[in-house]
Amino acid sequence: MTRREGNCDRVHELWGAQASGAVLSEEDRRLVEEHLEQCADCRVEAGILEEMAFDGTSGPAPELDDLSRRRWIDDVMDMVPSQDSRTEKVSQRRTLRIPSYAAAAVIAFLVVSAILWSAWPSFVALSSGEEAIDYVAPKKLAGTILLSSGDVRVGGEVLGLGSPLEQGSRISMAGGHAVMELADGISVFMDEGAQVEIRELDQTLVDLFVESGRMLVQVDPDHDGPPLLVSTGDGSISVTGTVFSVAVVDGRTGVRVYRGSVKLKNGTGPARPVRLGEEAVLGREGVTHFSKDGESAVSSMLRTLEILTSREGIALEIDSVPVGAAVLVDGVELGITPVRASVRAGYRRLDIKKEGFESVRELLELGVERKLTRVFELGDLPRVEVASSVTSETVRQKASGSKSVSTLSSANSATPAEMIARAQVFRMERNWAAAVKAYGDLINAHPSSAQARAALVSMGNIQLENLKKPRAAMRAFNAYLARFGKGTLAREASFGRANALRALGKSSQERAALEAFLRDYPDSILAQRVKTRLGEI
Amino acid sequence: MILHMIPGEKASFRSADKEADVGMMSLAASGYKSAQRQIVDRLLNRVRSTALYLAGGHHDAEDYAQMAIIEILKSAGSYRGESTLESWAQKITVRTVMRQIKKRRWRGQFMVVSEEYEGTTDDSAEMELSRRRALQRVALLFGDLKPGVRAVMTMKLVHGYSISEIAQMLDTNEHNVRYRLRVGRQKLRRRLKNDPVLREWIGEERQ
Repeated sequence: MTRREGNCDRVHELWGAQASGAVLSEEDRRLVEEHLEQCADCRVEAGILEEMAFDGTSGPAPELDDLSRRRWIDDVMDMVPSQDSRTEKVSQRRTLRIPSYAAAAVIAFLVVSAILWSAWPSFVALSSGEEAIDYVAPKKLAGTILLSSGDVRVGGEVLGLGSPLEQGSRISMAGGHAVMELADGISVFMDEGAQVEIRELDQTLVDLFVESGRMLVQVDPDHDGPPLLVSTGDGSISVTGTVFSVAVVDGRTGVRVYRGSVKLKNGTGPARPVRLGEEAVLGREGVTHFSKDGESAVSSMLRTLEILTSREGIALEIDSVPVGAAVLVDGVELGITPVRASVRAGYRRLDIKKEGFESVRELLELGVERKLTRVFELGDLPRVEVASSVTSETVRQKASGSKSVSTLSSANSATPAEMIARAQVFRMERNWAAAVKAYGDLINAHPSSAQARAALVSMGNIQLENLKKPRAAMRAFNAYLARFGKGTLAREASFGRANALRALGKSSQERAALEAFLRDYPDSILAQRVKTRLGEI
Repeated sequence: MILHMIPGEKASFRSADKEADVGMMSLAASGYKSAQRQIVDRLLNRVRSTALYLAGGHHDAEDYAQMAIIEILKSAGSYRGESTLESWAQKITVRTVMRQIKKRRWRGQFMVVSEEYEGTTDDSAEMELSRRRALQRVALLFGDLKPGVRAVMTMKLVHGYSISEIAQMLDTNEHNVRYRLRVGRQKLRRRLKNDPVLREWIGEERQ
């Protein structure tokens, strides 16, 4: 053991003693201080521990803006019993105590009669030598529609909020999508083209038969209701608590698990588990790990499920002239007008967007009334010339004070925070071109802002992965690295740059970029992927 | 230079006016929404951060934080002002989150990381985001520790409670708390030693 390591141990001992409440002597204190001056490892540890100490305001949890904070609190308040409901419960209990002796006597008589009546067939059966079968039919449940957008039908009838969903209901997504809650804690997001039948819906089981199409199922692991069975022509999927998607296409059933696990069963064979991050085809052996493709769509659906509720939800009916506008609540796309949704109460940001028309934004206070209906007449958008992409050159021009070649839209006067929020909305809508343009506007308007840095990397990622424009992506990543080489997103930019070179077929440059990445970030979680790629080229 | 920063030394958190807090909690227990809302607003940051450390960076930390807040509101009537509201709430938070973690037994899969800047436009926004990301990374390192060790580490290193307070909150003895703290610190130290990101971040901050 070296002398320095020995000192480390001694210092840690002293820290431990101090953490346990001991007061260090002057000598020990000096030893710690001197050691910290010399030992980088201990300085890092001390620094991290110092930062970890909670100062009453900021910690590791992502920051909530005013609206998110209000929403967070609203969600909690929804789940806490109010004064009114408590008073109500107490008064109900008091009412139940009122029955007089006469009423009690009548109840006793009825109970005795009922026992005798129910026991009679068993007595007859026993006396005739037959076995008594005690069967109580499970109580039927009713499902609820939480969201409908476009042409959605139940049993041929156009679906709306509150349309009855019961055992035997057939639901068809002709030209839209819907979210239904089948039982407490079981929600299903049905995508366009899905056709399902509720085969069983009672206290003991929810059995959903998928004829065709795709859907995302979310089951709360703590739900108290019946278990869920999703069946198709190929077999069945049994679920406890999890998030997974089912796609029945061309007679094949594919299953992907995003949280928890499910069990697949077909024919008489044993059930096989499919776990988080795995996908399988019903009726075929083996499971594989799926790629990240489509994960944004899934997270968008999950966010949609989060803002919907059947318990004291506010019925929101949104329409537009012309129809077909995207409806977003708190940045989450609910669908295309007309949209009917049962939304959690609280302050919500409503956006209505349609290409070629002016967008509308409104802050809604949901909860004042049980139902809110809005019809928006969308005005034509004035024609504005805009640059299709932003290069590092334009960024430099703007930074140096010269006039940019880009003609900015009305977003010019917006703050960086507003502009990045606008770009994020486009991202959530998967409107990649608009998102790139919005990021470009931000970079041009506020080139030295912190948001512009993040925008460069986000723009590069979209151009590479979604728009398949590796050259444009390269420009964005290069611009970031040139200006903020040691910024917080340098790792993402370096990795993105290597991927862009790969897409451009520049193997030698890609290799150099990957090697540089490994050198700069050897412990990055991306390092393994980089090593694998280096082995391939 | 970090000479004055010695771990375990920092244990400063504001002591609220207990009498006023007892009154407010009593109103909350009676179902007054405004009192409940005030309490949630006051404890929100503390509970969310605690939940994230306890959950080892798991994305369910927000759910746990909500459950903890609901438990705090449900128990509001039992607050007698014997300790600060924050300490009392901390105890409930740790118990609620630990119960949920045991129930679910899910390993951390996703980390909630704010990808872009949404706050102010000055450099302080970037510094704050960078600090938050570093702490999120520490929370992920916590994911490798046992839940009981995580709880002790969070209460000691994040919230600065004494060994005896932690033992009382977790219904265990002081020896056990010291043991868990020692084990947790050793593991964290090893991790930090091999984490270039956190090292670099601290280096940048200090230079």
